[in-house]
Amino acid sequence: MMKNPKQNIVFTIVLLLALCIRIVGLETNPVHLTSDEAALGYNAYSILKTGRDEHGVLLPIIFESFGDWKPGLYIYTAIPSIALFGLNEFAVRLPSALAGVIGIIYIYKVTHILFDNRRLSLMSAFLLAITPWHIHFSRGAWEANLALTLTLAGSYYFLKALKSQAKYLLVSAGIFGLSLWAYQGAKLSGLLLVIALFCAFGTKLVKIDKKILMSAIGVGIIFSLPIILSVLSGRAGRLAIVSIFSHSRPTEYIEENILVQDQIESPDFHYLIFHSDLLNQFRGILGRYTNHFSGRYLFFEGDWQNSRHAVSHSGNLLYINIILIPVGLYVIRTKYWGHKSIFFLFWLVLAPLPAALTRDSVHAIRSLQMVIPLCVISAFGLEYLLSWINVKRILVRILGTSLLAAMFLSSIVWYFDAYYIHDSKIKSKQWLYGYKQVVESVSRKQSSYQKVIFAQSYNQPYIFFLFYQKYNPTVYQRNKSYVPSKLGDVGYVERLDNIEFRIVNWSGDKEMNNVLIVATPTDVPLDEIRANPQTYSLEEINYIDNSLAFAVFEVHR
Amino acid sequence: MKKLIPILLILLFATILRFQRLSDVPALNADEAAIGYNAYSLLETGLDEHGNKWPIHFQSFNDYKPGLYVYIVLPFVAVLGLTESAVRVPGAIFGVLNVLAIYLLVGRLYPKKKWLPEICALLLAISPWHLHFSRGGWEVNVATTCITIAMYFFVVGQKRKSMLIYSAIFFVAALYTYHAARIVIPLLGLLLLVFYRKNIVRDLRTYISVVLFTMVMLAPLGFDFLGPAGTSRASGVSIFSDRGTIDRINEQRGHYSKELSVVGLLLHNKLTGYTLAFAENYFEHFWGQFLFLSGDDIQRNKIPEIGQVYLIQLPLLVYGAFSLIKKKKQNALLVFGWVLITPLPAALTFQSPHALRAQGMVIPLTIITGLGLYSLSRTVQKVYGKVIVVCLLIFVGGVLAWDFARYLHQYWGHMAQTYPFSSQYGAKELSGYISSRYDDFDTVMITDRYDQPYIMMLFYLKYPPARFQSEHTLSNRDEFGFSTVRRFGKFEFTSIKWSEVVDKRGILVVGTDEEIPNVEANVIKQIYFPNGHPAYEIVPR
Repeated sequence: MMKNPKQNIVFTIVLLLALCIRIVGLETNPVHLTSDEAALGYNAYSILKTGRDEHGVLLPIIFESFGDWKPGLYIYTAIPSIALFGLNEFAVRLPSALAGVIGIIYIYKVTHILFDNRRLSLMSAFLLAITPWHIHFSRGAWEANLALTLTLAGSYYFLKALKSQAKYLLVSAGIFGLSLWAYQGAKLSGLLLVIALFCAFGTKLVKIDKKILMSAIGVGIIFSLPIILSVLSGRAGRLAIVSIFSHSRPTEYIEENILVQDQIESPDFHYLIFHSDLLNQFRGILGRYTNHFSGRYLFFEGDWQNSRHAVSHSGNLLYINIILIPVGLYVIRTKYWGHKSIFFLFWLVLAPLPAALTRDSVHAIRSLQMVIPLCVISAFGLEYLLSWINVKRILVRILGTSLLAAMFLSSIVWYFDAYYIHDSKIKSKQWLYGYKQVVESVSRKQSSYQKVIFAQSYNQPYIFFLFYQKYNPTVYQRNKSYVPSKLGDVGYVERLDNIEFRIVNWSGDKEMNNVLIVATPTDVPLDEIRANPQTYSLEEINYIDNSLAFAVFEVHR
Repeated sequence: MKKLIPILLILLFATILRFQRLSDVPALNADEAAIGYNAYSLLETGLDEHGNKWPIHFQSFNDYKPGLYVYIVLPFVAVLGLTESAVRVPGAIFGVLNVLAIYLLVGRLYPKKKWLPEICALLLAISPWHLHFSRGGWEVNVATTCITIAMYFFVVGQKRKSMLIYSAIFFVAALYTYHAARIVIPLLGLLLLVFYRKNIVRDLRTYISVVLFTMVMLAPLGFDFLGPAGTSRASGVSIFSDRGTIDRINEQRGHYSKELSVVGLLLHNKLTGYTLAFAENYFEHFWGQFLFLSGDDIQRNKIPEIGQVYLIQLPLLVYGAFSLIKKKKQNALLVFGWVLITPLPAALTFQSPHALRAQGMVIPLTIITGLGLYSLSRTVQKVYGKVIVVCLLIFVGGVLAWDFARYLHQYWGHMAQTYPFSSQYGAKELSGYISSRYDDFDTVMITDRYDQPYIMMLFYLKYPPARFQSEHTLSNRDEFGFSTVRRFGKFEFTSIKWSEVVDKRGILVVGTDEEIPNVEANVIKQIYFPNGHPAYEIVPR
């Protein structure tokens, strides 16, 4: 990389740009911590202070957390940042932001080792730096982003092993194994990437020293073994629950739409070949698969199923990619057709599979790997457009460059506008806004009441108390009241000091004495309480759009 | 002669698929009835149903239907009478012609690719998208056929200039037939201009005279646009009449603080809002769910669980697209341009994706599929030899045959039962019953729950057009821009309120199951949907 100082400067600028985009305003954008982020942060804090997680387990590889069994790599990477900056939003989110920047370094390296074209690699890095999909999951403690960077690094060392020194294969295997420690979903997406690598470069792999090959496989197995073992022992978390195969068509649908219409009592030959469950599952998978290549998903709405995975009114990519991707595919087909470029097409084709195999019609995290090949394809398009402009007359050159720059600028402005101005206002509820505020309020008041009743929910309110009170981990580990779920789903914490986490039961709870109640708008008769604010000393905590998030009030008999 | 046997068999097959029980599957819909009745009205009186003289656009439901299809139907009504067949046979004939046209066109575009024209013709003959709109009086199908024929003559015209005139005639015919063609054809013209620019510059005089000839043929259409036909259709369904976009813009502007409001105005205004709505609609037409799995959202345009094209076309389209751009002289620009242009008019309307308005896509998509299969088997043959190629073709053919069988099963077995509201099921039986009792009552009151009931009665009762023209009025337009007729003769079309009709006498009430009470009403006849649910309940008062 040392040969061309001008390009080094450009690369440094790209990295600085990427870093800025990923850390400016990180503590307040996204507007609130999710429960998972708070859990990652508090467990890191707990390890830092005591060496044990919130459940008192010594240095776990997989953290039980809410009962969803989080692979622990993100927590360990968050320890130094929490040690440095304290237990706050910025510190929890920083590792993902840095992983995002490192990912940009590795997309540069991967494309460079394959195509030996610095301009192309710079453009890949630049495009990844400004792609909404990658920015979104770099901003926030998203384990999948860490896994993405690791698989990218793993691919780089794999390619390096093929090109120069075979021993890098060991590094590659280790990193791929490590990616399983970062994110549950990495098991399938990592495997698919390895398949893509083998499909594209398998012939070269044969030439590698058998000893190194075997020891690389050994390293891979050793690194992934702890995760695989723990999965076998039932710590797979939500995997079974989200998998499609546990869901099929309702029997009424089969009755009404198939059997009655075909005038048959039970499945017959026609049913078997035209209406079978297998065909239905296949159509479902194919539908979800193609959803990930739809314009709506890529350019206009992003993940329309999971509101926290996308910014309102913005796609996973920038509008300019609408032009760059087709041009890129054209360039690859006409000028760079070969196993190196086909590797990225393989990767693109395989990347949505983990998302297609689960229930959601689209899923921006499970298909996050798509962002890498899409950026590389776009980079081919951009490089072609620029070099095409460059050989034209000066007027065309100026016009073309400014047109391209204008399109880039407007795409980027649109995204940042959507991210910083609109999203928090539209989705403050989905981002769990209000918990931080309510925790601060309750923390001030809780000692003057005999008891606090806090509305229990899937959002695991206890973790926000632990996080924002910087609750002493040693004390918590000793007194925890965690109740695991009997169904293998997430469990609940029922008590923390004098706070009771449970469903507010208005008719009974209003009879109690000296109790502070924290309720959501649907739990209690708000109008009655609002009519007598003095009696209840009501405090209202609102979402950013000014609708009510929590009502904090006291009851006296 | 021997060379022609395959295409003749394909055409025969296409004919069977398009003519099999054409008159009753699916039931006639209101637009088809309107086409038929207007043709009938012209034959009988020289005026359309509303008394307009030999119109270019038919006022009909105030949607001003482009008129050529009515004139094509006219001789069929003269010969076959006012029947379903008279309205539908021309559509089916054009469907078969389109299979022939794609065969000829592909033969011209790719003269060296053996069997490719036959592959494309076969794919179009069994295409769900093409079959659906060939079976019925769908103007879009005629327009698509005319465009394919015009493209063929344009390509032929590159060598034999005299043929260009036929190209112009068929383009003009399409313009007189369907709204969407009026956006597609100018753009296709532009595409042809770019693609054949060298030939065009060389024979500039010929092309200019063809263009002038086209202008002359289009003059009546242009003048007609100055009248009410010009603005009517576009207003009701366009993206500009969708409130959602404006609401969203206003919501987004509300998010800014005062200092930033200029940025808000720059980013969130009608221009950006409608551009994005248009772009999103456009991309919906290339969405996998639409193309390969479920088809259109609108029931009338779809078959349950069937995509617009077959599943096996997904890999073939991808492969075809990639092989098309690889080499020069493959007419890639022409075929890609065609497929990219056709969904544009549909994207300007808020119901997207829209199988009907974007039906033209099926032609270039079929060509790309054919190219995909052709070049895939060529490549496989080169690399793996003949045996594997045969295996591949058997596999592709097998999957395609299964999917085709599934299509037939869904079309003939499930479509009418799953989507009973997609066409006017029951209207024919109803009209038969009413005509037998017409003299016993002073008033026949029919529910307006189903689309345009008046035209169904006119059609099936062969109501004298002269009488109808003098005794009806057209209602004001509804929110989508459609009007209807509320009464003519003894008929009255309204939503039935049982409490209002219960005390009246001398009325034959025809209502839906919800409108007619179960206990107190003396239902003398029930008419059913194909799925056995009641469509109409008839009560004499």
